[in-house]
Amino acid sequence: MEKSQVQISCKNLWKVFGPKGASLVGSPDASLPPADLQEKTGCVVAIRDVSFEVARGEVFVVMGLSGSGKSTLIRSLTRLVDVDAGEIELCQRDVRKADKNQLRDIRRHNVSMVFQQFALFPHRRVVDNVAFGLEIQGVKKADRYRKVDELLQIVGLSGFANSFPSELSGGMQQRVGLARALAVDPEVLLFDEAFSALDPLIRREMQDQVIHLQEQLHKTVVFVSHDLDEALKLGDRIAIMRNGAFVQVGTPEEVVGAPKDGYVAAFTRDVSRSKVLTARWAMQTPKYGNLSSYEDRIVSPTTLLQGVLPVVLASELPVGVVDTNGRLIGELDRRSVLAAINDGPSDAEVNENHLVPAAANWREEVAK
Amino acid sequence: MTVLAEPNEQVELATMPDLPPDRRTTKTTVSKLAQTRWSGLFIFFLAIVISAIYGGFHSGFPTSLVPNIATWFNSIANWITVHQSTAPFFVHFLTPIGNWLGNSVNALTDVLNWLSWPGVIAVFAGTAVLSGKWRVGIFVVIAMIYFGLIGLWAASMSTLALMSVAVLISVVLGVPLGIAAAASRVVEEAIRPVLDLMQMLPAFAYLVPIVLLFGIGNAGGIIATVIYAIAPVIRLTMLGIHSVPYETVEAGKSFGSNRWQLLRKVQLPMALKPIVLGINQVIMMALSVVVIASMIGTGGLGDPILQALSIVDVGDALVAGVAIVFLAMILDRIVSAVAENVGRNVSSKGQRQLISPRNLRILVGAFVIVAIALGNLVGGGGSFPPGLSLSLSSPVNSFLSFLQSHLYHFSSMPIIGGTSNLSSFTTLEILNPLTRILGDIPWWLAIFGTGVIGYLIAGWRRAVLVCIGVTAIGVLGMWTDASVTLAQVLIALVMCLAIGIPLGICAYWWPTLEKVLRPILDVLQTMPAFVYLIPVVLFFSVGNMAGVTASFVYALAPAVRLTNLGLRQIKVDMIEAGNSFGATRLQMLRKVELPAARSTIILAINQTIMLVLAEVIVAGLVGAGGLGYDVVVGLGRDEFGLGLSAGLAIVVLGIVFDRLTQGRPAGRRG
Amino acid sequence: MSIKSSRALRLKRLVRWGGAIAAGTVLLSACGSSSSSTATTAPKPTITLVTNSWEGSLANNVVAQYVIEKDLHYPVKLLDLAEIPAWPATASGSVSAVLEVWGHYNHYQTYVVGNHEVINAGLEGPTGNIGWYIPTYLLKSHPELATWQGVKADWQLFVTPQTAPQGEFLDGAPSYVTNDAALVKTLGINMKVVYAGSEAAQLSQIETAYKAKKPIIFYWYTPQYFNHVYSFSQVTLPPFTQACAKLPAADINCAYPPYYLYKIMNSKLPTTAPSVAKFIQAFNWTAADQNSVSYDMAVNKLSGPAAAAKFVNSHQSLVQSWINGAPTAKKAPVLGT
Ligand SMILES: Nc1ncnc2c1ncn2[C@@H]1O[C@H](COP(=O)(O)OP(=O)(O)OP(=O)(O)O)[C@@H](O)[C@H]1O
Ligand SMILES: [Mg+2]
Repeated sequence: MEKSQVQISCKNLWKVFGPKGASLVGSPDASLPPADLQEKTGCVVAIRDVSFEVARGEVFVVMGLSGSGKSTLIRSLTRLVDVDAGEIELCQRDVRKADKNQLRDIRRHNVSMVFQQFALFPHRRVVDNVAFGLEIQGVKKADRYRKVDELLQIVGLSGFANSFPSELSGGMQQRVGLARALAVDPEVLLFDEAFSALDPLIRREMQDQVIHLQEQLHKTVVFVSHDLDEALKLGDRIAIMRNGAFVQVGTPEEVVGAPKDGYVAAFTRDVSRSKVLTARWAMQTPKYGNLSSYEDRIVSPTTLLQGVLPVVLASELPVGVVDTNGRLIGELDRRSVLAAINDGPSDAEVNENHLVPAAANWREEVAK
Repeated sequence: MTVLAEPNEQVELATMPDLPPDRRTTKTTVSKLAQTRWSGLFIFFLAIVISAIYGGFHSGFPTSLVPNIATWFNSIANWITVHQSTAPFFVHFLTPIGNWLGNSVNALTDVLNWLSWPGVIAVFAGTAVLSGKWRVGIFVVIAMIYFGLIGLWAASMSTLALMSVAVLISVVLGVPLGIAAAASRVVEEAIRPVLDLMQMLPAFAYLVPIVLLFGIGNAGGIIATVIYAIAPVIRLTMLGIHSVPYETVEAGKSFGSNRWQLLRKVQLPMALKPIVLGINQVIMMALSVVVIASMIGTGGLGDPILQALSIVDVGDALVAGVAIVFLAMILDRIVSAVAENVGRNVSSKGQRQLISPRNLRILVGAFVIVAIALGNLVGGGGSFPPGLSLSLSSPVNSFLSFLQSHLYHFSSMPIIGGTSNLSSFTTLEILNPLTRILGDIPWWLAIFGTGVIGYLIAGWRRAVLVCIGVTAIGVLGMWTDASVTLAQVLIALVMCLAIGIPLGICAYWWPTLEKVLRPILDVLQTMPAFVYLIPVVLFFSVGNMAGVTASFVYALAPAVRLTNLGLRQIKVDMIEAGNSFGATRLQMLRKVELPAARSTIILAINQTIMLVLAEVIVAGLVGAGGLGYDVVVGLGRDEFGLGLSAGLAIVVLGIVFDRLTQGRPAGRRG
Repeated sequence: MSIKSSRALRLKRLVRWGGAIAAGTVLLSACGSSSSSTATTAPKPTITLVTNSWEGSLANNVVAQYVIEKDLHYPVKLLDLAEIPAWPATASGSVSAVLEVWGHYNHYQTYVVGNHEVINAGLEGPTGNIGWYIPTYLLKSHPELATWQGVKADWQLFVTPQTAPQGEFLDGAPSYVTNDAALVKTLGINMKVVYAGSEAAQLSQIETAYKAKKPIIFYWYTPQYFNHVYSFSQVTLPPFTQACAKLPAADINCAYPPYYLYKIMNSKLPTTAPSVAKFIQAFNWTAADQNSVSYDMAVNKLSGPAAAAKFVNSHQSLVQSWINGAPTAKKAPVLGT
C-alpha cells in the first residue's frame, strides 16, 4: 500500500484491563490463557499486539466472538479507550500523541462512529440528534439544519425530523445514527456492530444502504461485526480476532478459502463457499497453452464459483479463466471446483479448537 | 427523610414520579392540546377577574372564609383528655397495645444488657463479618466503643432497642401494605396521600395526642416513630414489585403459579433490593426522631442532647449527635450487608479466602460467646467501664467559640465581611422584601396565580389540586405564617440548588471529591437538627436567616447526591457518542449529560423541597417564625389546634410543591 | 445448586430468621410484662420524677433523688419529658411527681380540680419572676433603661436586620405565655417581638450579644441558672394589677404576675409510697439553693449525685425538715399563667 493512501495505521497495540494494566504488556504473563491470567492477576488482555493498516476508501471488517476485543479496538482508534502501548495514526495524525485539543479536532472532523445500541440522545429530536456533531463544531443553526435535511433524505427519514428517537423503530433509529455520523462529513467511519441489534431484513437493508453510500462517498470504514455474512458482504478485507489478537487478516476469499486455523474455520464453516470463492481461487495452471482450445468454455477470474459451476458441469472438458486483458491465466475442471467448494474444515478439526467462552457483558456492568 | 451513603442513592426512588405512559405526540394532539390550554387559561383569568371584583386588593386571607378549625381540633384533643382513662376503646385497646410495645422495648433492652457491652459489639461486628464485610465490622467496633467512651453506652442501647422495635414494626406492617398497594390501584390511590401526610406532618404536631392515647415513654415513642418512618418501606415495596419486568411475571404465570406463589417466588425476591432500601430509609428516618421521642420520655440518646441544649453546651450535644449518626450508620450498613449477602450470587468466582465460610461462622460464634462471658464476668454486665471515658465537649466548645469570634464579625472575612454581615444583608435585602411581597399578594391572585403556574407545567388536574391546596392554607388560618415560611423555603431551595447541583457535577467530574463529600453528607443528613440549633444562631443570629441556614444544611445532601446519581446513571454509550464527536466537557454537560439526567435532577429539586419543608420546624426553633414556630408553640403551650393547623399547612405546602415538581416530566418524553 | 434457587433459599432463611426474632421479641415482651407486674406488688415502687428542659428542674430532681434513695430507700428514676406530656403522665401514674411547675392553669383545672388524678403538692419555694431584662453593662451605659419609658425612648439601640426599621425584642421559649407583643403595642414602643422559638436559640443570641457588649433586650425570668453566669438587670414595667390581668390578651399593659412555682404528684402516691409523698409535699428551698446546684452541674461539671451530695451535706437541717416537716403552703395557678 502506498503511504499516502493509508488512512488508518496501527502498530503493536496493547490494551490490558485490570489492576496490573500496562505493566503486563509484552510480559510472559500476557501469553497465559485468558482464564489463567484472570485467575492470577485479575487482568484481561483486550488488545494483544495488534497491527494493521486500512487504505483510503477501503472497508475493513473486524470479526470475532463476544469478548474478543473488537469494541475495545475500534474505540481505541479515537481514544475513547486509551491503549497501553503501540502507535495509532489516523488521517496522517498521530492519535496517541495528540493533546486534548488536537484529539477533539480529530474527533470533530476526521472520524465518526455508529454504535450498536444506537446511542441516540433521547432528549433531542431527530434533527438535533443528527445535527449534534455540527452543533459541537459551532456550526450555525440554519446551516446545520440544511445539512440535516439533506442527510435525512439520504437515509429516508425526511418526515421524522421532529420526532423523538423513542418514537422510531430500531431500524429507523439506526438510520438516525448513521445520518448523525455522516453529518460531519468525516473521512473515516467506524461502525461498532452497528446492525447487530436489528432484525435480519432490516439489517440487510441497512447493509445495502451502506454499500450504496460507499459507492458514492468512498469513506474509509472500519466495521466491527460478528456476523460473517455481513463481513463478507461489506468487507474489502476481514480481520478475525481472538482473545485480543488478530488471528488472520485477508480478503473474504482468503478467510473463507484458506482459514488459518480451526478458530477461523469454525467461523466460516457454515458459509456457502460457492458464494464467496471465485474462479481465481480454484483455478490451476492451464494444461493447454492457447485460449482457443477452451472454445466458449471461458470465465473471468472474479466469477463466483456458483456461477462457474453450471459451466463446468455442462462439459467434461476443462474451462479456461481469462482476465480482462483477454489473457489466459488458469483453468478449471469439475474436480477442482467441487474440491474448492467442499474443502471446508471437518467437524473434528473445528471441535478441537476450543472457542473462547463469551466474555461477561462488561459494558452493562460498567454502566451499573 | 434522611439519606445515607450508598443505599441512599436510590432512596429517592421512594418518591420517584410515575413516568407517563408512552404517548406518541402527533401533530393533531399537539394542536388539540394547545387549544384546550388556551381555553383553560381563559377560564383561569376569568376566575381571577371575578374573584378580584369580589375580594378587592387586600392582602391576607379573608377572615370570613376561615372557619375556626383550630378550636375544632382543640375540642377533639379535649375530648380525648377527658375520656382517656374511661373510654373502652382507649382502655381496652390502645392502652394494652401501648403496654405491649413498651414491654417489648424493655425486653430487648434486657437482652442487650445481658449480652453485655463486649457481647453486643461482638454480635454486631460478627454479623457484618459473616456477611463478608470486614470493613463494616471494623467500623461497628469503633463506633460502639465510641458510645462507651463518651459515657452514653446505656443511652445508646435504649435508643437501639427502641429503634429496632420501631423498625421491625414498620417492616412488618409496611411490606404487606406495600404489596397490597402494588396489587390494587384502589389501595394505592388511597394510601398515597396518607403516606404524604404521615411523612410530612411534623411529629411535634401530634405528640400530645399520642401521649394521651398511648402514654409516655417507649410506647408513645414507637408510635410516633412508626408514623413518621413507615412510608418509605411501603413506597419502595410497591415500587419494587411494580418494577419486576412484565416478562418475568408472565414467565412465572406460564408455569401456572398462583398469585401467592408468584408473589413469594418471583415478585418478592426480585423486589428485595428496593425493599431493603426502604428498610434503610426507615432506619434513617427513625433515628432522626430520636430527640423528639425523648421529649415524651423515651430516654436514650435524645436526653443528653436536650439537656445540653438547656445549658447551651454545643459540645455535649454534638458528642451525643455523633452517637446517633453512628447508630444510624451501623444499622444501615449491617442491614445492607446482610441483604446483599442474601441476594448474592453464590457461585461467583472462587476467590481464595483466608478462612472457609464454615470456619468463619464457628470462629465468630465462639468469639461472641467469649465476649458475652467476659462481659458478664469481668466487664460489669451491661454498662461500659466508667473509667474509660473521653471528654470531647470542651474542645468542641472552644473550637466553636474560636470560629465564632473569627467568622461572625465584620472584618473577619474578605468581601462578605463575616457571617453577621452576610446574615444582615440576606435578611434585609432578600428575605424581608420577599416575605413582604408574598404576604402582600391578594389571596385570590395567589390562588389562581399558582393555579396558572401549575397548569402550565403540570396540566389541568394538578392545577386544580394546587388551587385547592393554596386555598386550604388560607382556610386553615395559616395564610400569613405560610407566606413567611414560603419565603424562607424558596431562598433555602435556591441556595441548596445553587450550591448542591454544581457540587454534584463536580463530584461527577472528580470522583475523589465524591469520596470526600460522602461522609460529610451522611453526617449532615443524620445529625439531629437540634444539635445545630445553637451553631446556626451563633453565626447567623436569631431570625429567618438562621432558619434558612438550618434548612440549607439539612437539605443540601439530596441536591448533591441526586445530581451526581443522575449524571452517573447516564448510559455509557451516550457519553461515548458525545465524546466521539469531540464535545468539550462543558458541551457534554450542557448538551448531553444535564438533559439526560433531567428527570433525576427534577427529583433532586423535589426532594430538596421536601427536606427544606421538613426542616421548617427547626426554623421555628431558631426564631424564623412562620409555620414552624406555630407548630412549636402548639406543643409548648398545649395549643394542639394551632400546632395541627400549622402542621397541616406544612403538609399542604409540601404536596403543592411535590405535585408541581413531579408534574414537569409529563410534558415530553425523555 | 442453581443461583436462583440458592438465592430463594437464602431469602427463605432470612424470612425465617426475621420471624424467629419477631417471635422472640413477642415472647420476651410477654416475660417483661409479667415481671413488671410482679414489680408493682413489690413493697417499694420506683419513684419517677420528671426533668423538664431547664436546668433548675434537674437540680430539684437530683437532690430529691439523693434524699429519697438514701434516706427513704425508694428507687428513683429521673425521666426527661416535655412540660405538656408531664401532666397526663402524672395523672396516669407513669410519673410520680413534678417538682417545679410554672403556671399551667388549664392543666390544673383538668387534672387537679377536674378529675383529681393529680394532687397539688404545695409550693416549691422560689417565685418565678418573669419580665423584661437587659445585660447589666447596658444599664451602666444607659441608666434610663431601668424603666420601660427609657426603653421607649431608646428603641433605636435595639434595631436589627430582622426587625428593621424597628427595634428588636427577643422572646424565648415558646412554652411560656408571653405578653410582650401586647406590651410593646400598648406601651407604644417602636419595637417588634422576635420569637427565638427555643430557649437554646435565645440564650445563644444573648451570649453572642453579651460577648460583644452589644445592646439587647429580652424576655427572661428567675430563677434561672444563667443568672449565675451572666449579669442581667430587670426593666421595670407598669405594676401588675388584677384589673390588667382580666384584659384580653392583646390589650395587656402591665407587668407579668408572679409565678408561685409549685409541685404536683399523682393522687395515688400517698398510698403507694407515703413517706415519699410526705417528702414531696414538704420539699421547699430557695432560688439561691437551686442555682448553686445547677451551677455545680452545668459549670463545674459535677455529676448529678455529686452535686446533690455536696448540697445535702452542707444543708443537713433543711433536708431533715423535708423528711419530717409539714407540707408547704398551697397556691393554685392563676388564669393566664
Ligand atoms: N472497561 C473495562 N473494564 C474491564 N474489562 C473490560 C473493559 N472493557 C472491556 N473489557 C474486557 O475486554 C475484553 C474485550 O471486550 P470488548 O468489548 O472489546 O469485546 P467485544 O469483542 O466487543 O465483545 P462483544 O461482541 O460482546 O461486543 C472483554 O473480556 C471485556 O471483559
Ligand atoms: Mg462489542
